[in-house]
Amino acid sequence: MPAGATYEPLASTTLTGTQSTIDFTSISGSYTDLVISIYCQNAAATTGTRTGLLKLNSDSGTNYSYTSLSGNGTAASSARASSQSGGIYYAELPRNGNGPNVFGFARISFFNYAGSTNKTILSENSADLNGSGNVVRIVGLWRSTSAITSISLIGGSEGFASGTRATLYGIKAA
Amino acid sequence: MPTPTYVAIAKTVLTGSQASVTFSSIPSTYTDLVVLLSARGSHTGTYTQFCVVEFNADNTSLYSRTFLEGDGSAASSGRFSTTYIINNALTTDTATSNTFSNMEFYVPNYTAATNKVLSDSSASESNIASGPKAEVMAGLYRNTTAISSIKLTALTPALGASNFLSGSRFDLYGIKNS
Repeated sequence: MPAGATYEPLASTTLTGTQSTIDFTSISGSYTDLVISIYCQNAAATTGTRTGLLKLNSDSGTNYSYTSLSGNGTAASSARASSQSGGIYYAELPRNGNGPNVFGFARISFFNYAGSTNKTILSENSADLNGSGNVVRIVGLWRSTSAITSISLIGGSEGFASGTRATLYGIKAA
Repeated sequence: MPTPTYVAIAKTVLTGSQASVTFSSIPSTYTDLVVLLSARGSHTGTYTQFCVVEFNADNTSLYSRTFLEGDGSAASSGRFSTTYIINNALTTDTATSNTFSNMEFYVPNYTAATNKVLSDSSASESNIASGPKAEVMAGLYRNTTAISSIKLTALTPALGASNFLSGSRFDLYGIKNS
């Protein structure tokens, strides 16, 4: 009997205009893990990056925390934020003012997202801007035992720029 | 049977030393590309050397990278704008025998008419007190042409010629978003 797909695209969005959030809703509980790949840009006309946060199941309680490890081309650093209500930090988003063709990337993994324990994520973020920018790894925690059924990616204060593309994948264990 | 969405496109396993490996004629039918390496370089004298990445046989000054690495003693970050993207976590022939470094190069949206991003996570661990590295890196290729070839080359830390050693393995995967 042939095996089923184990890395399955569930939904994908490519923006044709500015949009404040990208939302994946009604996520099936039939997978083991989730992965989002996002090729991303913030719509601000200035240079540098904007911080991207994500929320789960529309929760605005103080249930989010994260620890980051960052390199900015000059120094390595680490930071932590606990009991946050704004969501989990997942990426530095290059701003449109760096050039319309300059995008960043993040691959965000959600482990055991349908389990009845607290949820952990790992984000691998790349945002080189040819002379500035960041490379970041982030571990995040959502202190909820509910299955994740929706994910909202927030595009910074100006929102995501046109051309941003996000895809949600479901991964099945054997 | 479900349509595969994480597809093995090509692989190369070296049976002898070779300076570079190129994946060419990459189809444009995927959304993202992933290159996985299990590789060891021929350089001696240091514990890591360079694995450089070039797209579309382009060796002009369109590449930059920001890296974050740890060598077992300290973490550091740096940045370079050069004629290729440099990974500095290729295990050398000075390291413990039978030890290969692992690298993942993720290239999202490789056919888009925008600049290209490379996201790298690499490890070179060989049970030595200092020298091996863990490295993550953000790479940028400022070209809006679709990527149709990827060349991986072993270089010494002084940017001299080198080789990937026998047993090094290179895999190219394509990922679809629908």
